[in-house]
Amino acid sequence: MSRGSRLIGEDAPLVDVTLPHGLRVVVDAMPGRATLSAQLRWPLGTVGDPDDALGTAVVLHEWLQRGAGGLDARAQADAFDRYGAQRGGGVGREHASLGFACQARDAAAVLPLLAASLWAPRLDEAEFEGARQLALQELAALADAPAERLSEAAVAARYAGAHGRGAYGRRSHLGRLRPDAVRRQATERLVPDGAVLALAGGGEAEALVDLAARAFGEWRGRAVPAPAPTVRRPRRRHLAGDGAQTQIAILDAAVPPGGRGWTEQALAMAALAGTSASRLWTEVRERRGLAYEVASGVRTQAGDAYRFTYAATTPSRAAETVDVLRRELERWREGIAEDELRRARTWLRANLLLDGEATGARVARLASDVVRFGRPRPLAEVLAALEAPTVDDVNRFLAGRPPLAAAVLTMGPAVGGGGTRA
Amino acid sequence: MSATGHDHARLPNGLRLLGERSPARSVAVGLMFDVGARDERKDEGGAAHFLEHLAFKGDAGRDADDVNRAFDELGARCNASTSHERTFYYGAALAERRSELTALLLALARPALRPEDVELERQVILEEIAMVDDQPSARAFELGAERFFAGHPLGASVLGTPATVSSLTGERLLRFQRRWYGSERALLAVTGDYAWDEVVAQVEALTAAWAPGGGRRTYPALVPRSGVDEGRADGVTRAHLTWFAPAPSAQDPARVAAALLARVVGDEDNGRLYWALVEPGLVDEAAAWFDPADRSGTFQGYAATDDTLHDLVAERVDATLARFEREGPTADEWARAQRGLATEVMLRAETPMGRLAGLADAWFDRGEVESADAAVDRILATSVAGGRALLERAPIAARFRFSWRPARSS
Repeated sequence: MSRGSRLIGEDAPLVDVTLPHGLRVVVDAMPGRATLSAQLRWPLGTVGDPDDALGTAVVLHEWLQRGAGGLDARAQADAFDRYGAQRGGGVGREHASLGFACQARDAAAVLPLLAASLWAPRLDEAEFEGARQLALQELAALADAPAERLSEAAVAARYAGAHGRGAYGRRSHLGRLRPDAVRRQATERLVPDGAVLALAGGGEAEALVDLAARAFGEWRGRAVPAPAPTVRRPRRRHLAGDGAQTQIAILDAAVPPGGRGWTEQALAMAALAGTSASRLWTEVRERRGLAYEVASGVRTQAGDAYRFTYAATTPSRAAETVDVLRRELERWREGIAEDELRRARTWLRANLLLDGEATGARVARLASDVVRFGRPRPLAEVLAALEAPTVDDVNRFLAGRPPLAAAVLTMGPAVGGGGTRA
Repeated sequence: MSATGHDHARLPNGLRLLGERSPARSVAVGLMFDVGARDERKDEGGAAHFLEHLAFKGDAGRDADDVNRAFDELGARCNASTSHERTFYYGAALAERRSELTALLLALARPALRPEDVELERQVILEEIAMVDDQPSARAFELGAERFFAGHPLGASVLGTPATVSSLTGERLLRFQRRWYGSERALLAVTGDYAWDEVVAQVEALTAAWAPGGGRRTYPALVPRSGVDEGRADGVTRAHLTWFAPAPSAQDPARVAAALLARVVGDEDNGRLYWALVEPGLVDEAAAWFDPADRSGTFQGYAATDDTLHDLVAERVDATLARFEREGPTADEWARAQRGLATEVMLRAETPMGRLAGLADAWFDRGEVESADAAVDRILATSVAGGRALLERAPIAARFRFSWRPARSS
């Protein structure tokens, strides 16, 4: 049975339109699908917060969801729920997102509800304090989430200045935020310029673009350029903690999206830490039982990229775990074998195709592509790019990587043994 | 054969097969055993979960590296999970790899239990337990459930304790496996694009040597604890509140009404607890849900806050639930909950993988095959009167509340 022909590509060509006010609309139409997902990303992030008001983006993101247009907070929530729409969203360092998933036939009713939050948020005074208190609670919750805390520390270790700020704001700043100041920020930072709306699911592309144009038609404003990131010199750091495990992160430089060697890096990273038989999984967990969780991936921020390698283990085994991780990161530069490349390629290809069955995964990839690559990449193009590199290409790329100059972060009880190197 | 529909079969050894056809690009295969932590004796705590880990260490003909490489060659996305009730090995791959994926999952069910693998994996599980110790939100549930279920097997930790996990030898694990993992407690489910005749023939050939059998689950009466309790520990920074109340079982026709009631009160974005706690910023999250189990069931909930606000939050949780119990859901709230739950079912049905667990649970719990469309219809047909009637016999207010809090400063 041949199924190959319908495995490649979207159901219909991707549509990529920039509306007159700057909002970019990307549609992956899947005619006949009963569901539809939407994701809006726009440049509201903690890097853009005023220096004396860290956490403004977080509070604003919460506040703008508490009523829009003619609807107060409760009426807005009820309106989404009347259509059974599932909402989602969050704030990062450079972008915020809002999105939903619903039945495709309800898209014309639900998309305007999302849009109103951006172009006509009520920002009612009465809702401000709750939004601010919630931001304080979320910041405090980090203390009981060690992996997330380490991840925050990693960003601070990688970047100086605005890009190294915490994603949750600063307690003292959140404590003195005032509604009028945040409202002023809203006029500058809730803007269509630099925003992308991704839609995937049931419906015709043209109709979905028209719907987006109507829903967001009144949105106005120009984006303020974000500062460029400043990368810090890598160093070793231990953060005190009293957990049962020591959290370990190793950070080093990586090729940014679209940079030379990006695809070779993706394939080699899958061999290092993606596939079931990947090196880190095999060496850290299968052969030594050092950790339940071990991972490594490339993170990107404002055109910069770094590799974040993570494991958590009990304190007496932390030194050995750091050594094994470092050794594998060093050995990676010596190259991967033909069979590792084959499995990496198969794994990446299967992930793309399996993700492609879910509308939520499709919109996430489209929005992320626009932010990272400047355009949505058709699935066939991504798949074709993965097929191109030979093992020699990948190994030439690896040989050209600089020697490991990594920031090593540990968090938890003091690292036992003292066997780690900076 | 139609592109959509269901298939089922029972093999001579008792193993059941269930399929749901859909015109997908992928296929998902799940091998499930109706065995979980509730079937362990007290000194076997964590055995089912331990065996699930060891499955990936390979059978007589493959070691862990072979298993991992085989999954990679298939381009399969595979994993496993163990709950109080079930052990579940599953994977998704492109449809043309269905046969290899099925063979690999069946091989997982017969691990070799090599002594060196048992020792290594014991370390990994002890790390997993340490990880949960560092996640107070998860630990709060383990501790709360242990107290609420008061000796009932549904209150045991799925992972076991460091003491039980350290004492489980390969021999004892093998005994547990022989007692429980016979083909009569097994189900192989396939969703997506497949040819049924090929599935049946392959599974029959590969499981011919499986012992039928499979232990008999016991159902001791649940005498739940009531009231409030708390625990404190160094390393916990916030107050983590959990609560529990008896609810309909997975077999009870009122289970859909129970899920809708829980949603009205506990939906994270618009439930009554949201407006009482999250909207004013008293907690960073608050939610409640219905957890159906085999001949049992619970309403559960969770909220986390600064420890200084603990008492205020606890009062509001109790008051919100008590008021809901008195008033019942409004017609509007009910209709919104119905639509929301229906959307959840439809979104899960986007992929074959998303359908697998629900399909298998319905079969194990009720011997029933239920399509996503039928599940949506059932949700939309459940009346608010049914919800109000259920509240009369299964009050949703916390029967028992447990808080996991920071140690008192000396």
